[in-house]
Amino acid sequence: MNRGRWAVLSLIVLAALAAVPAAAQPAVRIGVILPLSGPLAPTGQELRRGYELMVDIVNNVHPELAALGLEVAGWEGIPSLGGAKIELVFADSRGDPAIGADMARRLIMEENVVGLTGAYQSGVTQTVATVAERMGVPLVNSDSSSPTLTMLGYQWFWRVTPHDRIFDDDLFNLLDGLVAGQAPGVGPVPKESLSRLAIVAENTEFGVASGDDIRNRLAPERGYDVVDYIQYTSNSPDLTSETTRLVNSGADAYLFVSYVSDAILFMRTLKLLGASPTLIWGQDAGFTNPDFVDAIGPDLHGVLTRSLFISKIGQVKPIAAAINELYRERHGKDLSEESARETLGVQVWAHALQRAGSTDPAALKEALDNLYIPGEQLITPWEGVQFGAGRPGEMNQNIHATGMIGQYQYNPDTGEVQLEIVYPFDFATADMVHPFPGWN
Amino acid sequence: MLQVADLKAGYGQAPVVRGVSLEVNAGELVCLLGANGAGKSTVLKSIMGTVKPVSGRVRFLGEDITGRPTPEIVGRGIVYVPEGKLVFAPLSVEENLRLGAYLVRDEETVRSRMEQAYELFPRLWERRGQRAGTLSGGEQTMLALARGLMAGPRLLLLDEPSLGLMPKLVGELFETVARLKETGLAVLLVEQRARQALALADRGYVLRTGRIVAAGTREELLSGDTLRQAFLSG
Amino acid sequence: MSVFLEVSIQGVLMGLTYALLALGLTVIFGVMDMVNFAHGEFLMIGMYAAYLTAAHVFPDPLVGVPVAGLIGLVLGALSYRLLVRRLLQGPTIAQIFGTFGLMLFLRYGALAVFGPNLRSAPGGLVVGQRLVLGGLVLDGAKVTAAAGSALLFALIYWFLQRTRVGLGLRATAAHREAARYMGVDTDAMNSIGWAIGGATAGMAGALLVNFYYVSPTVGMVFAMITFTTVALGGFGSVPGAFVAGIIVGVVEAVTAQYFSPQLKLAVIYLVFFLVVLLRPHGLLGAR
Repeated sequence: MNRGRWAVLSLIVLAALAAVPAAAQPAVRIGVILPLSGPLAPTGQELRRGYELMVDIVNNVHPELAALGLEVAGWEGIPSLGGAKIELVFADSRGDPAIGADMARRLIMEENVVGLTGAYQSGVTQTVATVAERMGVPLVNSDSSSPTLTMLGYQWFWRVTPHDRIFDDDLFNLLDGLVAGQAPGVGPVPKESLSRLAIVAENTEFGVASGDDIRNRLAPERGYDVVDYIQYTSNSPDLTSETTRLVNSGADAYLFVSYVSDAILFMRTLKLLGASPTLIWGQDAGFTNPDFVDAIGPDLHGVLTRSLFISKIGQVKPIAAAINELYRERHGKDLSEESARETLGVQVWAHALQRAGSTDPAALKEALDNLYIPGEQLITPWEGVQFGAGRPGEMNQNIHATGMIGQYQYNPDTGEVQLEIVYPFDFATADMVHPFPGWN
Repeated sequence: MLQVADLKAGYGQAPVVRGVSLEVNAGELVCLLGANGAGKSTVLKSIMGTVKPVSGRVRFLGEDITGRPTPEIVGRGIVYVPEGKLVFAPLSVEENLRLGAYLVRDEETVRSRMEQAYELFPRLWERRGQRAGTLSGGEQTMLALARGLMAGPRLLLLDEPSLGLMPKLVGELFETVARLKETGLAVLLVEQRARQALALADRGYVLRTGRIVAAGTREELLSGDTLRQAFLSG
Repeated sequence: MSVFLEVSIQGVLMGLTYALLALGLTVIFGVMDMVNFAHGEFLMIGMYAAYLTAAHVFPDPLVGVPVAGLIGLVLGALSYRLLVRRLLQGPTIAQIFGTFGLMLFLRYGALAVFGPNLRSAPGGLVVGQRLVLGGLVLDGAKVTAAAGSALLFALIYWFLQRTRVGLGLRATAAHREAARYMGVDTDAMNSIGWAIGGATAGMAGALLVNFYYVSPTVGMVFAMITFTTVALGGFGSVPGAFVAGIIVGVVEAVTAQYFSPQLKLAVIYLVFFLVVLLRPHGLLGAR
């Protein structure tokens, strides 16, 4: 190639560069670590959709949401940063703690992100948090529920969503509420009809941590009696003997910590044995899975499950309905627990950047430590977002975070099974069915 | 009936048979003699197609059957009675016999042959329901032979039937083979017991390190020095 | 009725199902001394066949039993003709990795085609049916699977013992080379062994769909217990698989009732180790 051609080419390149509007603020880059491949890939994609939805709400005009009081919907970027847009940089942890930590380093050192979010599995989040802590980069988490994450004294880690102990508290708040007559549509229930509990938990960290918390902490504290605590091996070919033992325990309430495959087998076998507890509750996981609902169908009528987010809340909280509607337009389905989580994470990041007015880590830390987002702006039933110590030894946990408890209700007219909210009682979308009505 | 021409065969890289030619005519009993490791069994297995010949030709009843699949060769009428105790140990004696006639579709033929086999070997009749693995060595040899006959062979390849038998039984065995020859069956008998085998045979070949080193009628082989030489320096 | 009897009956029911899962695996092993690691995936394909038949053709997984059997038969025979036969020329390790690869191919192929979701039969004659006998409550679907298992065992046993091809299969199992000298086409016997393995796995899958969910990874759930059953009964032994299946089912149920559900697998393996200690080739193993 001769010199003349080089000159022409250079001119073209320069012209092209000049055409980029010089006035645009550089985007604020936030690193997102998710399991985007491997067995959790479908979940990872679902989480990603939640992030992208809220980034779009922050970066672009959404008058209909702004009119409902959603501050970030009117911002078109971060006002205090000259309207800078938020840009997400996704990195794949493949569900592996070591890879997650590598990704965190790469995002900080090579991608120049101002902060991090993710990484779903508590084990991965913990290694990512270690990197963030050492590098002094904020990590805002809205998708990990292991209670220890906010007990480790990390200065650069903030959790927006509730952890498993809060969810366990919710269950006992519901039980106490039933006894006190606070549950919608149900009069006061004698405590004797609820006080005998049986826990069925898979023998994994998730199952045992939750089971132990109920048996060792909550049941004694609130005056309930755990009559049996059945730990089983998940993905067993058969759970008949476990279920038989559960029924023979004579418990009033059955509390399950199970993934979907085992949850299906338990429900089927309970029906077969004609079990008649007064209450059945599931610790999210399998109990909120659509496959579980398909498999059990109308027999779910009366079964309770905890969840972080139930899209029905739109009926009692317009802002949730509007955000859910936007999501429906894009993806043809309601916000799931997963996607809902991440909209909250982005929302917290936007408020922190706005409050800091800078991308300086110290300023961001200061902003997060003192952040307050009022409950009206959230899709969840919380009083707000505010970080602090919810219990002794804890820090940077959103002290207002709670879960929801839903109840499957079958409508024989439409033939549909709906998950209605029954807790928090103020946000109930239907009268609670109690006691458990038995099987169809 | 059977013509083997310049057969070369072996396992893997090592040739065991290095150019063997032999012939068996209808109604003949031919011996293939040789010391241990001379390649006798490999010649038979090459004929049966379980060892694929490297070169050379095998013809049976005028047709080239070199390297054809074993079941086809069995179907053409060559039946191999393997050396040692290759009976189906977990199966009953009767089932072993039935397997001998595996390619015979006519149930009537199978039954009549089985009756003949039991007549030839009354011990097998006594033990017909027993697992073959529980038979004595001699009985297993009988079973292997009887099983071979069930196919209604035109040519029987016998691979060292006397191996591991007590001397008294060896005599009985050779008598049985002689009786089979009298029925008009062609037999190619592989043996180490050269003199006893030759006593029954019309002709014989002597194999040494994969090559035919002597051939002739019974009398020729028994008279000269060839036999002793073949075994001694083998 | 005593609790022990009740628990044992439940154990026998599940045990017959385990036996059925083990049947195809032990047949293939018997014929060609080869462990088909993709057996659980054959089962999974059978389950999908029955589930899809129930979902789209006729709303009962029982109708899917012959469909799944046929699909399993073709799958087994094709796996042999297209893959395993080539592997036989290679070293043993290639055979092991070969069927392991087939397992991964089928599992993740199913994941790509059917998605990760868990599916359940929409209903059917025996789905969710309670059979009450005296004080005993039985799952009609499990009783059906157990009956199907007993029937298939009888059929396969009859086939192996009383037919000419069955005799050829047993001869191949006992001594492959000698079988060839009898005129048995041992290559065809391998195909038939794989076809039987596939067909019984397929039918087992269809019977499972009456009370179990379907997912691309469901083969994993049953693989361990199936391999253990085969090893306990003796590799290659059909009656052994039958007896071992029942033992596994009863041990599992009794352990869960009288000790702890967590221990049930541990106790099954304990029984397995004890049996192998006394009889290295399993309860009814030949070699």
